[in-house]
Amino acid sequence: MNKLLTPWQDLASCDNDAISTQLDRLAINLRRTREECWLDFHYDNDRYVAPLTDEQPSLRFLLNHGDRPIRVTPLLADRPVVARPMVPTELLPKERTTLFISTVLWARVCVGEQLLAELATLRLSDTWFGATEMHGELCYASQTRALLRLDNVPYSAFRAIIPVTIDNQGEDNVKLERINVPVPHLTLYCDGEKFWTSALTILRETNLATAKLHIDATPPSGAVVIAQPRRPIRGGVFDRAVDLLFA
Amino acid sequence: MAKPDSIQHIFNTLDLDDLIRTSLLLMAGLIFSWLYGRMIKRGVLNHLPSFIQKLGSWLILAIFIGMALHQLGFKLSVLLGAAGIFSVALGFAAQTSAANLISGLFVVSERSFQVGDSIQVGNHNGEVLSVDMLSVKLRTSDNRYVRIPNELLIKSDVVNLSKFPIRRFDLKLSVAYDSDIAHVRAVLLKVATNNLICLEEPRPLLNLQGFGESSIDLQFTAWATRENYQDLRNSIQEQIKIAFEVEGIQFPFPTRTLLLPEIAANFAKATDDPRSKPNSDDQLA
Repeated sequence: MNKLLTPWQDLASCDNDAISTQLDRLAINLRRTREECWLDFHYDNDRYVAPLTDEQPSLRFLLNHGDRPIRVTPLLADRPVVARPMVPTELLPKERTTLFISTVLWARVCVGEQLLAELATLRLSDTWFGATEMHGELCYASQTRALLRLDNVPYSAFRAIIPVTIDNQGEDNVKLERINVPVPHLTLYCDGEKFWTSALTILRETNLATAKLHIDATPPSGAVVIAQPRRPIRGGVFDRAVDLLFA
Repeated sequence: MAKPDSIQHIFNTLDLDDLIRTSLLLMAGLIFSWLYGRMIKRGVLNHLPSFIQKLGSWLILAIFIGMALHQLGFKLSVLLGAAGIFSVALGFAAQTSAANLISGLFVVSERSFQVGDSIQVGNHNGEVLSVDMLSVKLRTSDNRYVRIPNELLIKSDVVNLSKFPIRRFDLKLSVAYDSDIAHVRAVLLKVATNNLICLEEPRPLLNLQGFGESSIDLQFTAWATRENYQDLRNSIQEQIKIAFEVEGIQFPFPTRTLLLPEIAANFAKATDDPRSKPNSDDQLA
C-alpha cells in the first residue's frame, strides 16, 4: 500500500478517533469510540437524486473494539460500467486498437477488519445493458473520451485507467456506441502515479455473434495490487455475446 | 400368496413374514416422508410450489401404505376403483373446491408467478406468500392478508410486477398551449439525466399524446429497476415540478371563455369593423 496516491495514503491506516476527508465528490466524517462508530457522508455538488429521501442520516455501528485503526481504501465498482464514448466510434474490420477508459473508484471504510460501508467517490447513474428489457444486466453509466494516447488521460486520484484492446477479426465494423466493461472482474493496481485496472482484450472473432474477453492477470509495470477483483474469473477468459459487450 | 376375498380371511392367512414386511414398508414410508419433510425444511425443494411440497409427503405415505396393504393381501385394484368412485362423489359434492384444485395445477404449471413475486389481481396488489391447493395468499402493501381462489386466478388477468428486472414509469402531464415543446422536452430529459436511479438506457422518452381542451397532453416515460420503481415515481415527479417552476413552464388549469350574446355581438363587431383595428400609422407613430 506504500504506492497509494494522496489522499488515500493517509487514510490506509489512521489511528485518530475521528477523520474527515473529501474523496472527489464524497465527503466522509467518521468518529469512533471503543464501543461505537458514527459515519456521516454526503456528496458535494451532486446531481439531484431523490428529494424525498435526500437527507442522509448518520450511520451508527456498534462493535467491541472500535479502537482499531480506521482504514479507507480504494476499490473498483460493484457492477459493470457502461462507458459511452462522447463521440460514436467504430472499429473497422481486421483492425486492432487500444482505448483508455477511466472508471470511478469506490471507498471501502473499515475499522480494523470490520467493514462499515463501501461508497462511490462519485455517484453514477444506473443503466440497463442488454439485448432487450427482459434480458441484460444492471450497470453504471459513464461517459468516456475513449482516448488512444495515455498522455492525454487526465490525472485523477479517484479514477482508475482501464486499457481496453479491441481486436476486430470480423467482416464488418464494431460500433463502439457503448462498451460494457466488467469492472467487478478486474484487479485494481497503483504504480505510485496512477491507478490502473487489469488490461482487457476483446477479440471479436469471425463468428460475429460471440467475442472472447481476456483479462490480463499481469500487473502494469511497477504497479502493486491495491484491491483484488470482487468477482474473480478462473482463467481470466470468458466468452460473451458481442451485444453484451458493445451496443 | 393366496388371493383372499374377505378381511377375515386375510387375517387368518397372515404369517409372521407378511407382518414383518408390512411393518418394514410402513416404517420405510414414515422414514421417507420424514426425510422429505426435512428436505422441505432445509429449503432443498424451494423451487417447487408450496402445495406440491405439501402433497409430496402425503403421496409418499400413500404409496407405502398401498404397498403395505398389497403385502397384506388386499387387492389394490379394488381400492383404486373405490377411490375413483369416491373422487367422483367428492367432485359432485365439492365442485368449487375441485375447480380450485384443478385450477391450482394450471396456475402452478403455467409458472406465471412464484412465492415472493409481486402480483396484481383485480383490485389486489401484493406479494405472493404461498401458492396452495385451493388458493393463493397475498400480502398487500398495506399489510392485509388476501386469499384469492385459484379458479379466480385462472379466469382473471394476473399482472406479475416482478417478472422482469426493470420497469417503466409512465407520467401523463399537460402543459399550457403557449409552451415550447422542444424546451419542455429538454427540461424533462435533463431531469431524467440528473436522477441517478432513472436508467440511462432504455432512454427516457417524451410522447405527444394530443391536444386537450386547455392543454397539450404529454406522456413522459422513464425506466428504473424494479426495486427503485417507487423511488423513481416519487422523486422524478417532484423534480419535474421544481424544474418546471424554475424554467417557467406552466401546468395549465382548465379555462373557459364565456361570451354572452350582447358582448359576443359587440366583440364580433369590434373584430370585423376595420375602424376598430389599430391603424398601422398609429403603430408607427
